[in-house]
Amino acid sequence: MFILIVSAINAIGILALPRDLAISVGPDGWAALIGGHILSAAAVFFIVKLALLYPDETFVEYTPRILGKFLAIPLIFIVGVFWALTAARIVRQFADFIQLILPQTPIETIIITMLLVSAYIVRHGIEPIARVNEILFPVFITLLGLLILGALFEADFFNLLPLLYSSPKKLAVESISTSLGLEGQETIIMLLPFMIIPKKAYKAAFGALAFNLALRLALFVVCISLFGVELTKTLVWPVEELTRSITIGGTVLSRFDSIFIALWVSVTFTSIIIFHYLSSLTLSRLMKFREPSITVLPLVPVMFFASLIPESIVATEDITSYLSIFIGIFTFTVPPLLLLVSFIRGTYKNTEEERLGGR
Amino acid sequence: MLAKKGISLYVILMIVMVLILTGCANRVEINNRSLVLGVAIDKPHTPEGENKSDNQQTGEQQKNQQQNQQGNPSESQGQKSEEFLRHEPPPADQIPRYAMTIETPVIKQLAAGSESGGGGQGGNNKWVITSTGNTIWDIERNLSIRLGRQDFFGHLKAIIISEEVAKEGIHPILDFFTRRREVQQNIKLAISNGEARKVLNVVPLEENFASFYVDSMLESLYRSGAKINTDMLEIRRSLADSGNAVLPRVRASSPTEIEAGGAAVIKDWRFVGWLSELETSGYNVATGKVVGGAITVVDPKDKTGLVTLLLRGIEQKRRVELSGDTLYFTIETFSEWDIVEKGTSTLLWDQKYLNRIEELAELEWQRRALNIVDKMQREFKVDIFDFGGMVARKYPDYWEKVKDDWDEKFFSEVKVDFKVTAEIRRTESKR
Repeated sequence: MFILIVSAINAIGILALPRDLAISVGPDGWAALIGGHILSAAAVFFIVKLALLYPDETFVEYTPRILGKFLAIPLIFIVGVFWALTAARIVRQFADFIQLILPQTPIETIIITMLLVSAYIVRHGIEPIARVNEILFPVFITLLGLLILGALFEADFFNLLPLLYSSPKKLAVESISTSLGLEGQETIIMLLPFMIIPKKAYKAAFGALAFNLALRLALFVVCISLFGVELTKTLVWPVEELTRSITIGGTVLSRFDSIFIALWVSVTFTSIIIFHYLSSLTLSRLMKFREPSITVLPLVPVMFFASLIPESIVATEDITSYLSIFIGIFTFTVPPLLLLVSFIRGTYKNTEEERLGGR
Repeated sequence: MLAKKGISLYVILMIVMVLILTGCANRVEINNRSLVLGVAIDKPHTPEGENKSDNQQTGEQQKNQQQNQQGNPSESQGQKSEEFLRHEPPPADQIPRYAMTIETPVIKQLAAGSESGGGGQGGNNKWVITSTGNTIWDIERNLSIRLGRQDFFGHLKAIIISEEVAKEGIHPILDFFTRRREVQQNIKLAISNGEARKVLNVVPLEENFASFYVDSMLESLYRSGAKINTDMLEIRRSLADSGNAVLPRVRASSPTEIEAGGAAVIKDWRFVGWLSELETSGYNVATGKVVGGAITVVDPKDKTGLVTLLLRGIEQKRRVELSGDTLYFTIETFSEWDIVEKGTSTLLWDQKYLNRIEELAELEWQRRALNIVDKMQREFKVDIFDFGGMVARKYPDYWEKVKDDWDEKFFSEVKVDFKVTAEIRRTESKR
C-alpha cells in the first residue's frame, strides 16, 4: 500500500516540480513542500478515517449509503472520470517527455502503447499492479538515490539562501498548490478494502507521504543548489536537466539521461496503471459489473482521446493544473463531508451491525 | 475449436505488437552521422570587411535566400577560405548574422591512420566547414546543403565564440546548445581573440582535433591559474543569476598552436573586455577557484634569487557585512604551498625564513586579487565575483533596492578586504 501510494503520487510532475517552486517562492520551495505535505496529511487523515469506518467497502459502496443514491452516483461518476483523465494527462505528459528523445515518433504511438500495456495489467486486478510496483520501486529508489548523491558533489548549498524570505502568503498559496499536486493520496479511498490488515492504512498513507516529502525535498534542494534559482526557472524539466548535467568522478560516469529516461518510463507506468485501475474499478462498481475488468478496455480510447486534447505542452500544463485543483478540492472537501454526514446519520453503525449479524 | 481460436488470437497479437512496439522511428545509424567536435561562431565576411547584421529580416525569409552562402567545403586553411569568400559575396541586404564553423572528424581517414599503425599520411583527418544564417538552427540546417551526413552534437567538446559575435550578445548562441538535448552540459565555452574559425582550423600536433586540444588545455587548470576552467552549466548558472560571467580566452597563435590563457568578461550577456593572464590568475585567486599553479617571489634572504612556490591546497571563506549603506566584503583565503624551486644557495631549513617567504606569497596573492577587483570596480563595472549573490543571500531586503543598479553603481562602492594566509608545508627533497 505504501508503495502504491508513493508510486501513484510520483508521476511525471516531479520532474517539473523544482521549477514551479522556484518560480513562485524561489529558494524557499522546501518550506512550501513541507507545508503542502502537512496539508495533504490532514486530507489523508480524513480519507483513512472515513475508509476505516467501512473497512470492507470501497468509496463506491458506502457513498450512496451516506448521501443517498441521488447525490452519490453523479459524484462517484465524476470521480471515476477524473481518475481516467488523470491517467490520461500523465500519459500525455509522459509522451511529451519521451518526445525529447524520440522527436519524430508520433505522440499517438507513445500514448497508445503505454495505454495498451496498462490495460493488459489492469485487467488482471490489483495484485499484479501491486507486484509491478513492488518490483519497480527499489530500482527507482536506488537510481534516484544515486542521482541525488551524484549531484550533491557539485551542489552549492548557498543557493538555498536567503531562508524564508518570500512572503508567508506566497508560501501558503504554494503549499496549497503543492498539496493539490499530490494526487494519489486519495487512492486509499478505493483500495483500503484490498489491504490485508486495513488498520495499517494510517501507517502506510503517512509513511508514503513522509517518504514522498523526503524525495521531493532532496530533488528540490539538489536542483536549486546545482542550478541556482534563476536557471531552474528557465528549465522545463529541471530534474531531467540534472541527469544531463551531473557527472560522477570527473568524467568517469556521465550521461545518466538515458538510464534516467528508461527509469522514468517505469515510474510513470506505475502511476498510469494505478489511476487506470482506480477509474475502471470505480466505474465498474458503480455499474455493478461483477468483474472490474469489463470497464478497462472501454476506458482506453477515452483516455487516448482525452490525452490528445491539449494542443501543446503549455496547454497540457494548464490542463494539469486545473485537474489538480479539481482533484485536490475533491480530496480536501468530500471525505471530511462524508465523514461528517455519516457520523450525523450514523450510517456506519449499520454496516457494523450487518457484519456482526452476518457472522 | 478453442485452441484454434487461441492460435489465431496469438498471431493477431504478434502482428499488432510488431507494428506498435517497434521503436526508433527516427534513428540515425552512427555511420550516417557526422560527429561535431567543435563549433566556432563568427560574423560572416563581407567584401568591405564590415559586419553589419541585418536585424530587420526574419530568419525564415532569409532561409531561402541563403543557398549561395560562402565557406570552404574541404579546406582546413583559414586563408583559402577568405579567398573563396571574396569571390562570392552575399548581396548586401542579405548579410546573415552568424557564420558557424564546425569541426568534424573524417572517420575514413582516422580508420586508415590506425590501420597503418601511424598517422594517416596525406589527407585531412578532420573537416572544417562553415555555413551562415541568422540563427544557429538556421545554420545547422543550411549545413545540410553541404554535409552528407546528419550532424550530431552529442560529442561536442568546445564552443568558441568570436569576440565580435560576443559583443552583440551570446544569448542567441547559447540557447541552441542548451535546448538541443544531445549537447552535454560539461562542454567548454570560450571566446576567441580574433576569428573563432581559425582556432578550429588549427591542426594540432599532439591531438587529432583542435577541439580536443582546446578542451584538454582548459581542463588542466591545476597546471596554471591563468586559465578559466568552467563548463557550460556553470556559465549558464552564472549568466542566469547575474548576466555576468567569465569565459576563457582562446587564440590561434600559429597553424599548429592554440593559446588558452586569459579570460573574457561577459556583462549582461555581452562581451565587454579581456583579462590578461595575470589578471585571470587574480580572478581565480579572488574567487577561490584556483587549484594549482605556481608563484615566484624574491628570496627574502639574498634579495636576488627567486623562490618558486607551488600551490597544494586552498580554502576560502567569503563574508559580507552591511553597515550603514556600505558593504564590506571579507574574503579569507587559506592556502598551502610547497617550495619547488629556489635559485639561491641558502638553506631553507629555518621556520622564520619560511615565514618570510610565506609573507611574500601572501602579498603577491593579495596584490593580484585586489588588482582585478579594482579593475572590475573602476573600469569594467562588472561584478564577476558573485558579490551580488552574497548580498542577495544575506540582505535580501537591501538587495531588492540595489539589484537594478548593482553593476553600474553599487558594486563600485563596496569595500573589499582580502586576507590571505599562506603556509609552506614542504620543500621537496632538498633542504
